[in-house]
Amino acid sequence: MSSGEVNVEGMLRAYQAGDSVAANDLVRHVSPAVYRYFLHHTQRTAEAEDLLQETWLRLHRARATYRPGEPAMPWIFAIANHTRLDRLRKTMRRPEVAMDSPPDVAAPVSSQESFSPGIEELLRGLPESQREVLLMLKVSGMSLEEVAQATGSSVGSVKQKAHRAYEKLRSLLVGSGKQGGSR
Amino acid sequence: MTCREFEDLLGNPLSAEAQAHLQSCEPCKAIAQWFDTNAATPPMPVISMADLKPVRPLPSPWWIAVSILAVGSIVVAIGSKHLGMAGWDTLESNQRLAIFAGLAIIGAMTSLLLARQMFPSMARRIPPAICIAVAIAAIVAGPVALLPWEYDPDGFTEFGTNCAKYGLMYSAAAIALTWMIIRRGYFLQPGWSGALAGLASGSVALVVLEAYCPLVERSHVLAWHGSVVLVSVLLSSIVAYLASKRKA
Repeated sequence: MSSGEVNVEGMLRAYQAGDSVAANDLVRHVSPAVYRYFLHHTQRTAEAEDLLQETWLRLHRARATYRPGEPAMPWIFAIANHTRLDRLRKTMRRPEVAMDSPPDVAAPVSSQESFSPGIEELLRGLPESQREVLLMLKVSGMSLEEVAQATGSSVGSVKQKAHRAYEKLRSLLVGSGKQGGSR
Repeated sequence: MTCREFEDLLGNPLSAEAQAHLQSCEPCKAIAQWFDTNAATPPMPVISMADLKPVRPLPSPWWIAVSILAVGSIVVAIGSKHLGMAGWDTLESNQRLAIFAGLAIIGAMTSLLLARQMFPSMARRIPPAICIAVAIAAIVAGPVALLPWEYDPDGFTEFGTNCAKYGLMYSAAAIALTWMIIRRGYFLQPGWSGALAGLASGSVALVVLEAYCPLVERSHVLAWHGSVVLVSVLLSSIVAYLASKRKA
């Protein structure tokens, strides 16, 4: 992921030191991965944008909790994940907002509101923990170690969840009759 | 190449072998295409970086945990000096060992968990709710297993309120000092961080009370000493939650 090619850790250290240019660079480099993660979870562009904004506000407040020398992406995604889970809890407390209404993807609305058909629907059928791991690994491009740190679990557990998620996706694809066989 | 091998490559630049697998496996192809074509770009978040202040990174979780323990030890030392050690003298050696070692373990575990709670990528390994539940269960089980039931309605409230007063006083002191240590890193789960700070401080107050109080009787200890821990956990949690809301 970008964490290797672009020095996200360096940007974070400069951000902590009060370098606003580095802070803006960090926002520019990290936001797409975090946004995609939210987008695949929520399937709503407006909500994903909102979560991204909220994540950066939290990240800004918590920037002292990043320890130089440690990988940056797990730290960033742990905050992103907390933001998402907090939002989910709030939504569950007020179910009229979204939980009871079908997601936009199931019943296509406008291209502005919903995005991507097909596998999106299958992804929704995965358990929360498997989907979280799969999205971090395959959409946000984090390594197994980074995902393990971000989710507070072991590398083995991440591997297992990702494998199960991937297998389920494949079997759903085959089962849905859209595609051919797997091996 | 099998689908299992291919899945490890997904998300990375695909090798020639992986590309060949895609040609012959429709499910993998569909998934790979989906991951490729959903590289959405977000509108940039609006964050004002104009007056960005430098911040000092937090020390390691171990250092923070040791600091919290040191603060607790200081409060225990002051409390024991102030209130005396009549309880310590009254307890039998096996009771002493079980009670104070148990409280020391609770204090150490809570301090470490609280310290880890401050770092986002460390926060989820042991859920704070489980730690708090186990600690409170141990605090209830201790007196039940170790102390006799000699309930006396006459002095129950009078002696009890005295202990609760001192307990809350020392717990409040420990909470205030603990908050000075964790104030820069409680944002992630403020309610749980507050509850853990309350548990650590309540345990400190409990050590002071067990050392001080000569009334080693089960109902008294459960009702008046134990309540100090519960009140500390609840109040600290609420204060932390409200403080975080106010700051946000």
